[in-house]
Amino acid sequence: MRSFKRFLGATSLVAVVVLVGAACGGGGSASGGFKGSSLTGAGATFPDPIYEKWFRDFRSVESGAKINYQAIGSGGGVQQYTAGTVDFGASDAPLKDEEIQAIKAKGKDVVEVPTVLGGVVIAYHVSGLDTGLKLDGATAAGIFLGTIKTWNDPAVAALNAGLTLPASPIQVVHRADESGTTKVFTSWLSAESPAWKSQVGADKAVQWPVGTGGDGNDGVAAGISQTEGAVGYLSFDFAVNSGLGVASIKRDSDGQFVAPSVDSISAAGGILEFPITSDTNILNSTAPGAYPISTTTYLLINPSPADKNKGQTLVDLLYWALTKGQDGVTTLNYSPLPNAIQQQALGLLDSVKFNGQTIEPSPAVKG
Amino acid sequence: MGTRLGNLRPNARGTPPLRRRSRLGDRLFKGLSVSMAAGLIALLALLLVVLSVGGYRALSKFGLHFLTGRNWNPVFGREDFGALPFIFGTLVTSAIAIVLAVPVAVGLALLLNEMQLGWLRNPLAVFVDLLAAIPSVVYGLWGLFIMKPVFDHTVEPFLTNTIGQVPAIGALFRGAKYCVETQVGNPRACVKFGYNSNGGDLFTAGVILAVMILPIVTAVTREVVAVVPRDLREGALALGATRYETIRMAVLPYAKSGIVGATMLGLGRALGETIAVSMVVGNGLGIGPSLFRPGYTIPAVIASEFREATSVGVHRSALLALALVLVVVSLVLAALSRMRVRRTARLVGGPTPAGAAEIPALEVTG
Repeated sequence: MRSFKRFLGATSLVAVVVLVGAACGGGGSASGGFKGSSLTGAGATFPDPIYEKWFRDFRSVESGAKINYQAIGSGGGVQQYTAGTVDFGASDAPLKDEEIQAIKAKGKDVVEVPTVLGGVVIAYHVSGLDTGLKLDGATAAGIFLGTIKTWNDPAVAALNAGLTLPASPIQVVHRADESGTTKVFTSWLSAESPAWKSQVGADKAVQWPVGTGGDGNDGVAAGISQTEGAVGYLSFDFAVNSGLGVASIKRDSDGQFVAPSVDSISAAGGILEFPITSDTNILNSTAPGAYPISTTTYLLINPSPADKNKGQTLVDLLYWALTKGQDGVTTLNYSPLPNAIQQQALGLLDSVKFNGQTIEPSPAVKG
Repeated sequence: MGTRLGNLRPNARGTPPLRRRSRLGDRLFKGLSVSMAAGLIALLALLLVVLSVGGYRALSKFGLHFLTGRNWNPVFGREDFGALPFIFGTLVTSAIAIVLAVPVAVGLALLLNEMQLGWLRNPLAVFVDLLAAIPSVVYGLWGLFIMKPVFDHTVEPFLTNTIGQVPAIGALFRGAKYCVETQVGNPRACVKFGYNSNGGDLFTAGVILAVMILPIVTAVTREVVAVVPRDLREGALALGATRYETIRMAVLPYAKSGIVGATMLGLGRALGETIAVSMVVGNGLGIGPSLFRPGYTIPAVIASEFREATSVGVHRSALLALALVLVVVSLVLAALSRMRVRRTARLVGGPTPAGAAEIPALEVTG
């Protein structure tokens, strides 16, 4: 027993030495290409699965790029980026003007790089109505305001000729926690319905006029699947695997109904405009075939990094994520940026400079 | 405490003085325990200070409205925070839990102590104690995935169709009204109504809380009933009382203050329970007679909204003020229960049952 303990001690010592050696070795640009350095980041939960995948896969490009990402929520990500406790932040919403001022007050700056697209879907559970429900903005707002109370309400029926709608009550399920998903959904309802805008408004959490609240996407999905006549909103990547019915949404621009899909959400990104400002969004995108309730998410990076190796790693990472990394996003049910937007996002990386000189992506990620 | 330690000291009546060394030890021990006790009080004071300072922004902005307001609107630019729906939800769910759990707990305790159960007694007692060891999130999951659908589809519609039809108290057991059938050709004229039974609601949360507090209330009640002196029981039996009359006339009056203490212990747990409640209570604002509508409790809203309450504005401060409200509500109930325990103990007369008055009146967990 005793010798076993000694053996354990000796091996862990060796392991520590090896690890420390590896960590130190990773930072320098040794011969044979840049190996990357370790980074820490924090922020949005919505893109967490794809970020985790990217950061894992990126190590096959730069072996020293150990990236620790903590999905603490967009608000926390912005706060930690401002405080300088992380190398990069992540936020689902573009930064507010006050937030940018707070960052500048600390003597820093920020570049917001869109990385991937997602959507918010209206999911429902009505017996005998597995698929095919159609909704428009005004009707959706009426349902979530509680003015439309039953499934066979004339407003719902008018959009769904040919479907048999039951007389059962509509049970609204919403998020109880604060969430970027809620912000996107309520922003869309505000854009669609003056009544919603004046009575409820848009934020990460709102005062819901009716319904029950669930914690997280899974809480809402559980609430919908258990309750006859339930309707709620979910992040698209989550809704795909939930097995719930998903409504097609009417586009304001041409009156067509579009079902949420990787492609229709990707198409919505076509109207993204640079530079990113506090009111940038892709809701009700007029791009052809676009799903109306789509959104993008951003990484927040420092245009003048204090550490050259970290800056180089971040530029390489983003260059890789915006090119090769985009191929992998659909496996996790995220939507890639349209090509034209990818190019513009890559252009943002030119603003990352060290000692006044632009940090060019390494040959490894470009090749 | 102080007097007992004092009694150990040599006194004027000539008790032989203890050796110097142990006197030093006594002093050290006294100092240590006094500072521990002071630390505990300081901790509570600090907690109140931190919550007050944190909640000051919201409390000063909304004043009394914070306690009486019915809106909880965190939307930036139109913030309005009133805690009434949460206070209401917390008290109602806890009250349901107490009403359902206490009779069962007292019955169980009497069964285990007063009836001749033979071999069944120990397994049953252990089983009840085991219920207390289940983490609350497990109750929550069970409530969300198993109990809630059953309540939604079976129990609540049944209650609506039976008790819900009784004039006065029926209002407690009916959900929101909706129209099942409109007049042909006139969608605005309703000819048939239904009542919405909404899985996540105050009633479901109250029932799950009742299950959760049952073990603690039973365990304490069992202890209290166990210390009722044999003489009392034997006296009652000797006078020709039946077993039921013995329990009613000898056991229960003596154990009453202890049972009140046990109830308060359960109430404390119910008031502070977070996760399980948040999973089944529906998390919706609303105050009304119906128990079948979504509600919200103070711990549940704090747990739900604190994670991302970094937003600019008074939202975070309002949550801290809510925590202060919960602490104050708990302390007030604790004080009331202490008074109640003392009063019953005095009314019953005789010595306070061992341990009964010493039962910590309230303990907020979760």
